[in-house]
Amino acid sequence: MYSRRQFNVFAATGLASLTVSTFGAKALTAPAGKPVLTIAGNISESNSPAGAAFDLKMIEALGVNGFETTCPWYDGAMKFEGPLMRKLLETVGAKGSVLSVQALNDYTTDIPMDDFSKFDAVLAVKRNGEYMPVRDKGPLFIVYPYDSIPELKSQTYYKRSAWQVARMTVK
Amino acid sequence: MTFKRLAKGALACVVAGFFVSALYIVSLISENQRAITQLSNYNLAWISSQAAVELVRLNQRAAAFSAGDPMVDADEVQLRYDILMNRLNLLSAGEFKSFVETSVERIELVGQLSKVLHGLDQIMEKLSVETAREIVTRQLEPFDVRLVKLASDAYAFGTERLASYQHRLEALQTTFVQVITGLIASGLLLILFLLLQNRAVSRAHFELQSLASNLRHTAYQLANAKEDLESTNNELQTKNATLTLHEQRLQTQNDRFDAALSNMLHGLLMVDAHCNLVICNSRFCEIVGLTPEELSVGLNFIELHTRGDSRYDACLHAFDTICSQIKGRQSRPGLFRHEFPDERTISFSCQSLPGGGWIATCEDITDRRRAEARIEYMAHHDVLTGLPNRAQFTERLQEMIDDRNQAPRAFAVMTVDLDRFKAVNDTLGHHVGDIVLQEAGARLRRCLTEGDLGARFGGDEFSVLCAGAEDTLALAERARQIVHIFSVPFQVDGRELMLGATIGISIYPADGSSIDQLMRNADLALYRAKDEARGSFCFYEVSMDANIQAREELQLDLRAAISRSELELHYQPIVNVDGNKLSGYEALARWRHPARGLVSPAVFIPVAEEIGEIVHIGEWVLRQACFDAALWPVEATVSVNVSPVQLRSRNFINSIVQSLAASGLGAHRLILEITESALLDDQFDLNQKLALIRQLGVKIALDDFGTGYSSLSYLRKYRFDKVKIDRSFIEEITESGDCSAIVQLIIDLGKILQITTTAEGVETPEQLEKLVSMGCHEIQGFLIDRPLAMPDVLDRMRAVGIPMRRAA
Repeated sequence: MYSRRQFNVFAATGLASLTVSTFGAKALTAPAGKPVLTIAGNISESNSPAGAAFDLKMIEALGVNGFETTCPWYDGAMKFEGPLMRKLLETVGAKGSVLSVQALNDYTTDIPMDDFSKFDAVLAVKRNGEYMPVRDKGPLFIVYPYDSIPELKSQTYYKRSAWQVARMTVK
Repeated sequence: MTFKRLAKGALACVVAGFFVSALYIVSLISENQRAITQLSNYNLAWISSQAAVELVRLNQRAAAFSAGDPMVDADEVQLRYDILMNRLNLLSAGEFKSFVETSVERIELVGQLSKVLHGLDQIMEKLSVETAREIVTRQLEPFDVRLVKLASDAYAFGTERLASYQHRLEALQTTFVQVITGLIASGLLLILFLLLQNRAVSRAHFELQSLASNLRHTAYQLANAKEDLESTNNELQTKNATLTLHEQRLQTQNDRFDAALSNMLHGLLMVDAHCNLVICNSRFCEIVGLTPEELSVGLNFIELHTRGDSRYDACLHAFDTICSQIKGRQSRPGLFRHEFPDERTISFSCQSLPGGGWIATCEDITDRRRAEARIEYMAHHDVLTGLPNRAQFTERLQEMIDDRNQAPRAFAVMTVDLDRFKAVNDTLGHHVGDIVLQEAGARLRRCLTEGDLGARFGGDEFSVLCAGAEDTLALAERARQIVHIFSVPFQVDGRELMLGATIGISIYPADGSSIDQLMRNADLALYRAKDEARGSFCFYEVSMDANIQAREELQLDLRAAISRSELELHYQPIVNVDGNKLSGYEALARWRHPARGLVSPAVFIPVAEEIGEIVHIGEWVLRQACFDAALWPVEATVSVNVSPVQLRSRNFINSIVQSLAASGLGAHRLILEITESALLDDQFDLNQKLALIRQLGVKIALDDFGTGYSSLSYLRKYRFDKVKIDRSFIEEITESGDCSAIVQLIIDLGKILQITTTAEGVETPEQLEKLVSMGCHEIQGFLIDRPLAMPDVLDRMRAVGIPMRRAA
């Protein structure tokens, strides 16, 4: 049942992207709520001088994907939910090889854009069904499905898993 | 071998080494990987240093906020507080937690920090300039240095761990190198072994090749040997086949011999010089009444004698008989007959053998002997009567003549003839005739005295050789005795037959000195006796020769009578009482001999019957009567007498048909008169024959009724048209009441059976009157007319104006 729902979500997002491209370059609407993420750099879609700004609602509107996985930061398996990273980047028309991600505490990490086509990494907004506060790696957290692929259970991908994400720059 | 085993062991060790090394390498690599992973583990120092940085930043923002910096608002402070709270979570969870738990100091630090920060929670919500300052000065600053210290510890911990991991890696590296070296060494060793093995294999291969060539050579030799063996085998088989064939032939020969022996009609016995049985066949066993088991090979006959077994009696008897014959004959083959005590006759053929012993064949000829005896008997006896036959009689007669020539003594030859036997035989058949003859033989035998010989010559001819004939009176008495014995009626099948005997006698030496003379003269005397009176005897007289000559002449004349046209027919009319009308004529044969004159039928008919001429005469009469009757101007019937012999002839019906056809006479005008004696002969087809004749339209009359063997049953059995009452009854019809009664009976019977009655020999008007009164239909006799010759018949017919035939 879960997989079917996942498929429906994909279908919906596919349709949405189609709609976006049809309505021109300035289709990305301005955020209604408090912006939580700004994507800058080499992108085709934007809604502010700083780049493409997103409130939490806009991010959730990109579709909710989710999986359960263990990670070094929690004891036991956790369920993370949020849009796929590649969906987010597609939405902004990102074109580049590296995505530089900056956290609220100014921690910055560079992720190869390939990761998002190779792995179903998500920009998690919820952990175990709850929105994540800043004090618990919120509001946005890049999570890889570590348990599904052994390769992901390494320091390389743990380093790329940035939490308290605030900005992204496509390079 | 030891080297090879060693090499094999080494090879196995090397391979095992390889396997273990490979496994070990795999585990080493895995461990290496783990070590490297741990090396690259999340940097604890980084986490703890960030905690220090984030604490400083919160302090800085809180300070700035309390100082009234417009760039920093309460939210900014709140954010930094949240970030630090997040860090606190990191410090108290996951991998870092395990690092913290390694020291009490660190636990305390983290615990205090957590307490302080959680205590700030409410303050943060309603943050003011004062509270912000308080936070910085009172609560958080003390942790600045301690967090740096934690970072330093974490760094040191990480460095230490790194060093140890590196050390482990090096150690692993070393082991790895060693194992690889060991592997290479093992590989080299393996190559060496393989080379060695290869050499050994090459050598083995070479050895194998030489071995193979040896084998080929051996195989070639074996093949040759096999060929030799096969040819030898073939020869053996051929020899075996030949032997088998010989054996089969021998077996066949044996079987044939056995078959021949057991199928021999003769018994065979072979005995060696010591009286041991060599061989005998089943026929011999049968002859001596023993089983083949009881006569086994090797049986000793001398020993058998002492055994006293009664079963072997016949066998020993045969043995003794042969032995005695052999002894008498030495080496000559012998053929002899021997009568066994049980009345069997055995014929033996024996032959002594060169080495002693003998072989004998034997045959049970009892049956043959009996047959021979029978033949011997039959050659000298008459089978029917058991009396000696003519051959024995003449033999004996010759002997007696020879004896008498030495010392002449009279003896007599009697020829005995049975009276009326011919009639009995002709009419009652041979069966009755044979019985009569047997009875006659028995009677004759009873009349014989010692020295006599009674014989049957055939037919009804008997002869007696009487030993003593000096006294003719005595001889006559004996003849009379025989005549008397034969005069007694013969009882055959419930019938009483009157026969009687007539005897002719000739006496030696007065009436002849040879067999022929004696026999012929006895015959002449017999003829005389017959002529004079039947049932008598007569001695030969010299005058008899002339009589017999006359008789023989008569016979010769009679034979020629038909061809000489000496026979003629006379016709006596038969008149119907009703209207005194001519009914027909009876044809009566007459012999008109040129020298003898008119011969009576009573004389020549018996002679004709005797010499067999009666059939021809009868046919002539029939033919002539038909021919004559056809010429008559009136429709009168013609009656023709038929003798029993004629009636019996196969050609009889044919001759009737031919006579009728040739003459053109209507069949209804012909009447055949047959006598009662003809009916005595109970031939199976007589009734059928008479029926056939009647079918032709010809009528049948029973002649001379009332005489002879009269039987009323004939009237029922056979269908007659007419019965002729014998003249003997008519003669006395006026005087004898008996005769009158019989005639009346016959006439009445005729009426009932619808048979015409004719009275014969009517001579007086009284007789006629009587017969008319009795109701008799027809009259024949001198009263009407005597028999007339043909021309007279025709005259009489015209004179009395009897109705003329239509055609004439």
